[in-house]
Amino acid sequence: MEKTEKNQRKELGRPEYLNKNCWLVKNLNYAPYKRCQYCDLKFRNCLFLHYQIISLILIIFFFTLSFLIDGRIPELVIISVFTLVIFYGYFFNKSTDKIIQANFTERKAKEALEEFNETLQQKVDEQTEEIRKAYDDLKVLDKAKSEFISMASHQLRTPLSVIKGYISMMMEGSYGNPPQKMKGKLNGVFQSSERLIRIINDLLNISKVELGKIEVNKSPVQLEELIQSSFEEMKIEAEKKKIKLTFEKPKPPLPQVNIDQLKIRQVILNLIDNAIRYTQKGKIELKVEKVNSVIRFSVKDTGEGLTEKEQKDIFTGFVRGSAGINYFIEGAGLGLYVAKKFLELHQGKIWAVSEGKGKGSTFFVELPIG
Amino acid sequence: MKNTTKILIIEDEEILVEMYQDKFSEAGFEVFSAPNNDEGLRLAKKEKPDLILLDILLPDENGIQFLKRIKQFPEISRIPIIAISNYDEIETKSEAYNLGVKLYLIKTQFTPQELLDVVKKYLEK
Repeated sequence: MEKTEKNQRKELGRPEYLNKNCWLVKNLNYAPYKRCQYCDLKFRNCLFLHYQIISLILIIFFFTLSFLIDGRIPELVIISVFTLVIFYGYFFNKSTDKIIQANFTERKAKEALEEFNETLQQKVDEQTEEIRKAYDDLKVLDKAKSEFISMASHQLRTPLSVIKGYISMMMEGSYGNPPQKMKGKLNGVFQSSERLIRIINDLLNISKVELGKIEVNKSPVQLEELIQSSFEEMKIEAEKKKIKLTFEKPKPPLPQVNIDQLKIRQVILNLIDNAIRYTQKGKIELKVEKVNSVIRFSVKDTGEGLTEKEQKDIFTGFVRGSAGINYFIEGAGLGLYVAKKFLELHQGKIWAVSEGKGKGSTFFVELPIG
Repeated sequence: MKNTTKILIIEDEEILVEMYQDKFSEAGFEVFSAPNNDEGLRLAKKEKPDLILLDILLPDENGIQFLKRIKQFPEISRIPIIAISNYDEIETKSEAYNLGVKLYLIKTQFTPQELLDVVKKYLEK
């Protein structure tokens, strides 16, 4: 135990402290607010200094006293004063030892910590650099992805315009009137191509949003009119699934909103389309109203519902509610992500509320008036 | 004989040309088609169509170049042009508008009938 203490002392370099390297060696450079560079105490707290001063005061005091009384300094006084000083020194040494040691340990620890911090900082810097590089690589890759999606979607559109175009012409009777039975089937193909076009538009919009290339052409619009036309369009889809889709236009008309009609229309269509796809039976209610300084549009369904986590996740790209997996319903889960991005461009909001699984869900969209 | 409206379609995708041709002929238009800019310019000069439907993504030289080139020929530079393309990037779109296209339509968003309606409406003006 004693040995280790000694070793410790040696390691701590106490002799160094008390010897030639102590501030006392350069004591003329003393200032009370400076710190001793060896034990890190401020000089005014330096016990060694206190000892010296007190000793000096004692010596001068006793010598002066005896000189005043006796007219000389007797040897006895000299011997006793120095003995006193030495004794005092001994006790001083005893009592300060621990303080100095503790102080010194602290300094060493501090140094070690600083050194550790430095290497840590270095490591952190290195790793940050690595992460930054990886991030840059990822950004390049992400951009490439968006560009690829953009190019691929454009390519996909060409054959789709042929399919959509010919089907519509067949339905219109450009190539002879189709039999009634065929008309229904052709309509099915037409609707499918329309849906495919919507998905591709979503993909394109995502790549545009991600490449920062989205254009917004705002104009004042009566939102309920836009909802009405989307409602008419989606009504057929809902009827096919025997779901009741309802919308009541508010009277009197609501204040206009300044929006990009095409984009908001796409959002509305997406929300209704989603509601139809994720609802197996029941009804879907569309509602629009003025709430303070915003126009709020909502789509309430009696479908699968959403867990709390899904209510948040659903607005990020490529995520769908678990209902999507259960029912294997097509759609890449991009519509809501696009919707969110579009609403951000309009200083609007979109969110979903659901009381839980199997309890249906309501999607809200808010757009500022004017 | 000037009763028939002449339409020039510059489009490289044969089947699309055929489709639009069917629709526009059905509606009583006289339709010409060209698969590239050179042929398009030649036909435009020769036939003096009332309207040009121009695709933007063409094989050798894109539709934007066509818009620039047609300006050099005063006799045909005033023919209204409607761009029909599946390429919708803001830069290209605004460039086309700056070069004087009347409309820039996305093919997938229009059935041939809808396109015909747009063209008719435009020609009525």
